Amino acid sequence: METITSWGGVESEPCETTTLQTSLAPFSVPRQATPVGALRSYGDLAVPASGSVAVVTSYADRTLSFETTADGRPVVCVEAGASLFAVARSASRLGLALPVVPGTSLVSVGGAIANDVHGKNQHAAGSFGNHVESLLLARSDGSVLNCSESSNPWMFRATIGGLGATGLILSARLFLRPDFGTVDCTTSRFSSIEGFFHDGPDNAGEFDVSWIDGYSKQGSGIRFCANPVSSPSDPAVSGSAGLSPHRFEVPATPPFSLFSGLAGRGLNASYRLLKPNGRSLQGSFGFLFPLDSVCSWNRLYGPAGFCQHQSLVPPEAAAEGLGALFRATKSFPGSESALCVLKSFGKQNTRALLSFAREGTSLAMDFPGSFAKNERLFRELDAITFDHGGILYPAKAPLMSRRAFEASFPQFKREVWAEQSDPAFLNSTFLRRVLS
Amino acid sequence: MTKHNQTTVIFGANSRVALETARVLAMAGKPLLLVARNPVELKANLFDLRSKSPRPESISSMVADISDPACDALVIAESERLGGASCFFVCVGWMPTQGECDKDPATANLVTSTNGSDPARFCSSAASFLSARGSGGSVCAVTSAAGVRGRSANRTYGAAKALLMHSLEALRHEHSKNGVKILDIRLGRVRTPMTQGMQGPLFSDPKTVGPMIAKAIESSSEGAVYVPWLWLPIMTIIRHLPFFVFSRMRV
Repeated sequence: METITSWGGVESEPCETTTLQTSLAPFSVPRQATPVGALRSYGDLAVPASGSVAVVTSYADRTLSFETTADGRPVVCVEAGASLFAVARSASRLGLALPVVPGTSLVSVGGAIANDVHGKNQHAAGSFGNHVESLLLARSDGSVLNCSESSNPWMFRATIGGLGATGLILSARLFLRPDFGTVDCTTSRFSSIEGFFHDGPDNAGEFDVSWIDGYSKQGSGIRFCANPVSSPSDPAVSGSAGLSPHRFEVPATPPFSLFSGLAGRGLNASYRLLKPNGRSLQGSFGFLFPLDSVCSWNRLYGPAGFCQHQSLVPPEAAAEGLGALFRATKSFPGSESALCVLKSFGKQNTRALLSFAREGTSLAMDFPGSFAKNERLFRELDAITFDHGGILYPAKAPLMSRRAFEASFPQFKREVWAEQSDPAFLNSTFLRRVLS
Repeated sequence: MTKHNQTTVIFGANSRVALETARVLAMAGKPLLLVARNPVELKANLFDLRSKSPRPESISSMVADISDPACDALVIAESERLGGASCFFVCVGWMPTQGECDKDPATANLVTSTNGSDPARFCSSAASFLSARGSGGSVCAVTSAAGVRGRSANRTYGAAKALLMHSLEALRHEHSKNGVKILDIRLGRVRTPMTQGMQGPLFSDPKTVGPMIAKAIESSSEGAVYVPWLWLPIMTIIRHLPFFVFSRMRV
């Protein structure tokens, strides 16, 4: 019996675990199963409900092949438990890279598909699921389905972003793009959330992400717009550390949060001071995965942990909605966001039935303290989000309610997804709650 | 394969611990010869390791079963064909429960040979070969803290590992003068397919154990090492407990 703990600190009851050892042999699915990958989702997506068996995929983590499709596109076939870091490193030896990566490379391939994760280039390249050629899915009836646009297409679309409900992803074939070792990054400042929308550059570039000082009054921040530099990576910029995942590991949980109150204010202020305006070349790993240089950074929030609120508001209401969300954090004493990230999403078609990646602007705010402590604030933020036609991100929501889930995904898509789901896999505490 | 006698031969390359060890060696660009029984898994492991190596062409594989005495010569010949081995690393093991061993004598025999006599035979062949070649090298085998003292929970498996440990010590005795190093890598509890279902504290992850084993193999240490090192003080105490104390422990 083990306890499964998510990145945001949600703990399961002690549960049985079983390991997916290989994607090449049949896997007998437990009667009630919850796929567990790298445990980087903040809420309880991968937290087994009582009676459910945690299927740990992290040992099925091999790169199985590099191939070229009939139309000449490079693909990599990897097992579901492989980290994107490992895949990216193997691919970079061949001059290739993953087209879409989230802010950390330490997520599993299976988790990246099941959450249809997005990256700083969502507006240009879509989300992770847009670059999956096909995947193998183990179902509880013992079958293994090959899912792609041409075979089992609805199962394919229900599995991408499907939150683990359709079965266990064994392996996947992912399209790759030419590698880039460096990015040409332009840094600019904005004085408020509204200012972000009015004064932003016309052409954001391929990568676009903004940091906001959670302690500022109006949400002033820094916008990072970058384009990949196709020339081979400059060792002076990316350095040998460019390919190493961890430079520093937080060895233990400190007795108090290092991101609250004055400390959080100080960190945000110094970040603002240390980032100069203008253009610079940066190593691609450091730019794409800024948090991976500190391993287990969630410990810095102390024993009470932290929770994140990530919402996306459609374009017509984005400026007003995000402004309202940011100011709402000011109405609760001591609940400034310690880390606040803003990202514009483009109109990229996603294959996923349930995908967070839709046109609009997303605001992700980290708050120190448990969900219980932040619950009132989160209810308020949820209400503002839905009032502006926005949606929430299941991978980040601490304990997403059924109402919030239904408000975030259109009914007909949820129905098609539910039709494709596998009853044995509807046993994470998340799925039991939102489907109850 | 530009230099002679550089290849690390990994017998039992499909095991979790061997794969994690091989990944560390592969990332450092070491030439490897992977030897294992299941060709499907072996092919996947070969590709995975090649994808992680700066010198993918220096990693190759062959299918062999350690229970077949004829494989010793074949594996050694293949390693010579690849430029010569610097290290033979044996990482085979199989651990059914004691109950299964007691129920079926065939299972008990297989546990004894798979964990004990078969790897001991291969290590002996490899050491003799290295000794005859005369340019040094090492033979490393994975054994277990379970082989240090006889316990009711795994009488058969523990005894088989003890056979291998004893045999390695004898090989070290035999080859102490001719530059062949013998290393007994005693693993503590590791979360692998082999130990699935086992309960208890002090389990470590193959991903942390792999680099430690790789370091032990790469360093020119010989004799016995515990991986992780924490098991050295633990097993030293357990080994010296008087029997009347030991018999009261539920370990």
